[in-house]
Amino acid sequence: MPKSFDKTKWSDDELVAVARSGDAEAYEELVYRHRDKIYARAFSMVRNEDQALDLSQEAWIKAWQRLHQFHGDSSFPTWITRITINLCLDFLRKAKRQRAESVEAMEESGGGVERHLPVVTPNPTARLERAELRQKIDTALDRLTEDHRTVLVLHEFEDLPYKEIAKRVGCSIGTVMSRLFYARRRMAAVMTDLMKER
Amino acid sequence: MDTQTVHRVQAYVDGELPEQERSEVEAVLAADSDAKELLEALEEGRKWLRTNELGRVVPEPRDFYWAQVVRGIEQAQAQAAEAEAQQLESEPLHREGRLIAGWVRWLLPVGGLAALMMAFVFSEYVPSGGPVGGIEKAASYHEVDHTVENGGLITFRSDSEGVTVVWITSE
Repeated sequence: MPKSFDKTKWSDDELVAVARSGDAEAYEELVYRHRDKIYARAFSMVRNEDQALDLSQEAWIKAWQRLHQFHGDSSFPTWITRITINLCLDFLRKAKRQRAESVEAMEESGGGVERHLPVVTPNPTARLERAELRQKIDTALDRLTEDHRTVLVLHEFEDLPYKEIAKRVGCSIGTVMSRLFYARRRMAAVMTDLMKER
Repeated sequence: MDTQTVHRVQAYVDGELPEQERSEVEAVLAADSDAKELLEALEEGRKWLRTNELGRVVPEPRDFYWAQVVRGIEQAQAQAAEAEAQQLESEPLHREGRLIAGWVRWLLPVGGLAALMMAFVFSEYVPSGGPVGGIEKAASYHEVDHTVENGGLITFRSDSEGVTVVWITSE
């Protein structure tokens, strides 16, 4: 059990154990510690500040309700990030049903992106400062379709394997591979364009 | 380069291939300069993307954000309590409904069977009429005994009296 009354010095596991018994103060400390990461993950998927805020808060609410299901198989931040991702995927699915497929997505299914994109891509990140690079990557992410961005975020930022992505997104592994490849090439092309705009 | 090769090179970069297939891709990479260039581009892109996600900060003060989470938790708890109360409230109705449904399940086939048997008996044994009064009166009475599976059906009809009696018996 924690020795200090100051919960800011407790580990995540200690806070979770106490929060599970209904201690809101312990849970508040967990929220404070990880809220930026959760918000950032939601934003990376939905690309909208208000929606990301709502989804991140919903994730915290769901996590509180399911705290008894957290057995420490992964770290607490990983666990709640997975909850956030699922909420974002649900949100994107509902939003997608309400609008038509994008032209870009149709192009992809129409003939295979590999034939439309050059194989060789110059390193678009050369000569960029780290902060500038991060900003440009974020801008490039904005220019991907939802489907491509989702797969890219889940693979590159969450390090999920193809099979897991396919399961969560609800598509085949082949589609995951295709979307991932398209997303990477598109990112490289957009980054090259952004470099020219400097 | 065909799509399959492109995807295999990508899977190689992502560590998604089993050992044997890795060897096969390595053979392709050694022989195909386009595949080799693709590999390098994918590795480079993967490196700069993975290590450069833009961090974000919740654009709300800590207390305000937390207060909204608390409000959401309270709302969810209130909704759960309400749903539970509604379920408890409707529980007796459900029990009654189940009881009635149980009876109906038995009564419907039995009633249907009886109706079928009656229809059958009347169509087969319609009397042609007969003398009225005294001993002859008894002659105008028709009695039919018809057994059915798991039960029996007996009808007694008098044209003169305009009465038909049906007994349904069970074994």
